[in-house]
Amino acid sequence: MENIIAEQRGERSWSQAHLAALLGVSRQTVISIERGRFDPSLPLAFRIAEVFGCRIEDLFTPQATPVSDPEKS
Amino acid sequence: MATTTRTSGKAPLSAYVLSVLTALVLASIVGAIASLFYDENRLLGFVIFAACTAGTFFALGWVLFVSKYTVEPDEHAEDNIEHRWYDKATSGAFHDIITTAGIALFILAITRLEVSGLVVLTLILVLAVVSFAVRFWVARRRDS
Repeated sequence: MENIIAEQRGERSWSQAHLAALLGVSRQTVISIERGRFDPSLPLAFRIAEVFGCRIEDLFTPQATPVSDPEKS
Repeated sequence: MATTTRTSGKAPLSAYVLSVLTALVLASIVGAIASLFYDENRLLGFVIFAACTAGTFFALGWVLFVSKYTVEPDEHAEDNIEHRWYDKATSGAFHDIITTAGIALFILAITRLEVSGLVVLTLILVLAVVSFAVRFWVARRRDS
């Protein structure tokens, strides 16, 4: 899942450690989320959205995966 | 590991004393029990087992008496990537143990070899620790 957390954090001049403290997680967690190597849990995603004052879908973009329609198959 | 923890503050001296006393008492009990099974040199058996278990029992004493002052629960522990590494490493190690134990049991059943329980349990423990450590390290390298 792609995200714009690094950009949002940069706009606020927050360090990764500061964001991690706000979210109550480790700095490594923030690093891995920003690099797209770790998809946060739903509660964490909500906290991230709350910290940045936006919606989850404004921050995270699912990678394009086709959704199969069972009625068509 | 249900939660990770964060450190805070210091414990009173009595808590550290209690943890040390716990270690000494429990290690002495284990040493005494072990010495009952050593007919030739009971004192040596007592010393070896007491010394080898003292560290573990000190850790137990620390958890029981000191940690409540120095460690506070992390409400969001499960949201950390370290928690995912831990989960992946433990589940992978579990599968390794099941697979290896199955294969080993199959071989022993065919060959009718007799193996000491001490050896088997030691190998299982080593396998679990090594498998966990390697899997945790790999997950950390991949996700960092």
